[in-house]
Amino acid sequence: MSRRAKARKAGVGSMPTGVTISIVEGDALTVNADVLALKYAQEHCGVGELVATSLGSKGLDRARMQPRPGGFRLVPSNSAIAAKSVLFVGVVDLYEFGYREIRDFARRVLVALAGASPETRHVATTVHGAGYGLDEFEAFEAEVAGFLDAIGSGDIPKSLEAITIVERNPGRVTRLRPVLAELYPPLTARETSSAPPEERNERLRAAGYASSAKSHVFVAMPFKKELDDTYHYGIQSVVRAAGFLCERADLSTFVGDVMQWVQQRIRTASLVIADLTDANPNVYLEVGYAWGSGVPVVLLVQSTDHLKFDVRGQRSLVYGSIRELEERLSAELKNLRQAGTF
Amino acid sequence: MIDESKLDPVGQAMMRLGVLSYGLTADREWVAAQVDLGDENGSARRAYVRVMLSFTEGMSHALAGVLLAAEQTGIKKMSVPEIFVLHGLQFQVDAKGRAHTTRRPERLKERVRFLLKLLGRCADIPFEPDFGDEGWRAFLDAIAIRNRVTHPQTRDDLWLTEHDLDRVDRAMKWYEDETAKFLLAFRLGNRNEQERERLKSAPASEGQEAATTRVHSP
Repeated sequence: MSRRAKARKAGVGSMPTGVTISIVEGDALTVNADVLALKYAQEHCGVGELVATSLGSKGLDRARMQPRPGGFRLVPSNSAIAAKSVLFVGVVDLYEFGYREIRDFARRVLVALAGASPETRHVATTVHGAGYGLDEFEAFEAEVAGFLDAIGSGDIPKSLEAITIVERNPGRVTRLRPVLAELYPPLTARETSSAPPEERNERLRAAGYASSAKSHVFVAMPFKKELDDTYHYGIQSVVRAAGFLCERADLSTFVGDVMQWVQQRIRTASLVIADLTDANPNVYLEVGYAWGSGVPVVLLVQSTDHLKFDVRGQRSLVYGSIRELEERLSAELKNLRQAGTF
Repeated sequence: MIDESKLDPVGQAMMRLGVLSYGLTADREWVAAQVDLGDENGSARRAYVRVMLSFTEGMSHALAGVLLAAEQTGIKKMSVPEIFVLHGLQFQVDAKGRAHTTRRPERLKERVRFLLKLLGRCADIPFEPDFGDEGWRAFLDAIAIRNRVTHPQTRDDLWLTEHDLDRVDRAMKWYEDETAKFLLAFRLGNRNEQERERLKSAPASEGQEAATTRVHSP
């Protein structure tokens, strides 16, 4: 039986593949890999822009780094970055690049390298989606599932040994590492485990594809580093525990008419949670859009010594600490659910 | 692009508040950085005071728009004089004995006091704005400081101390807290179920083409 046929027979989730997938904290530009794989969402953004600039400084024409959706470009790095080559995979505009597209992107990375660079042993890439506001867990599961799609069908470089997902945010690495361990345990754990991996297989089958059918909560708050803990521990964990995807928009990440994406995500949200702390213009705008569209809104504001105002149990919260926010928001979501608000 | 025609008027007014606050917040951040950079002749400090008070002027105008939208849609009830004051209009009789309305907004102090009282009354959970504490006194001080540097009579009038800037900062905090109270308590009901159903069932292309307002990303 050929290698590919064996892989197909094994199927996603139960395949005894030797390819390792890991997520590490670091800078994608300094990872020693054979290929650094990036998306090209018809504009370079984030890491892609940094890499394109670095390659450009070594004389590479930017036109060689701009594939159309569905296409790809594999270019040598000429030592501009640590990876030997860079794969740009053409995808749709960023505000159309959702969970399903992330899964497809990850699969296409390996499929492209299977044909264009079969000697590739080590592929590096980044976390996709979380940086501009998609639910980080859902987006990550879709990315891993996309890699496993290609591995499962055998459409991978014949020498492939490792896929490294590089992420600059250490907190995100800490949060996503257990997700990866659940979806794709190390080979030894897979071989010795007697438990049937049905739950894992179901998650992998649905990742990315079923995301659009899941209800989501849109969070309107500034995308500042100092608010990361408030978002991840005070809001995201509560929203996910209530069974929703949790999204927010980083307006600085987008190129073009960002409001198109925000508009769509608010209109389709089950609920908007908006933090009014620091009187941020984006938040006002997003609250206005939610009000105008009839989407229920829960407003939050961080209390100061001066602000004494009790609106508990009224779809608004004044919070002091992240723990307090977590407890109050959890109770609020429960009340709203019982009241049939969403 | 956002098609405002598909949004309810209160949401539209709130979005206009957001759009206005882009410019006002950008000014606040820029001028604060100028003060931090060092300010030998005091120009940045004077600009700081003016920008902060201009933020309250602009936001008060936009919040008045939110209230007027709530009144127009029947969500909140207001008296005719209140509506005219929110519009910044006054009655006047001309030389021929005809009645006119003229645009003559109240001074900032009166306007903010009036607005906050009305905001407190129109919230779903009514609240009494805090005019008895240090925040309101700081706001009055900030207006006086702004007026002093904007209409100086001596060279000393131009000079701003750290204490002056602290008073302005305290005033801004008070203003933000009081307006946040309104937003937290304003639209708690779920009145738009029918509207939401209508929006959900609208064709996907609707709302994409006939844009009436362009919103610029920062």
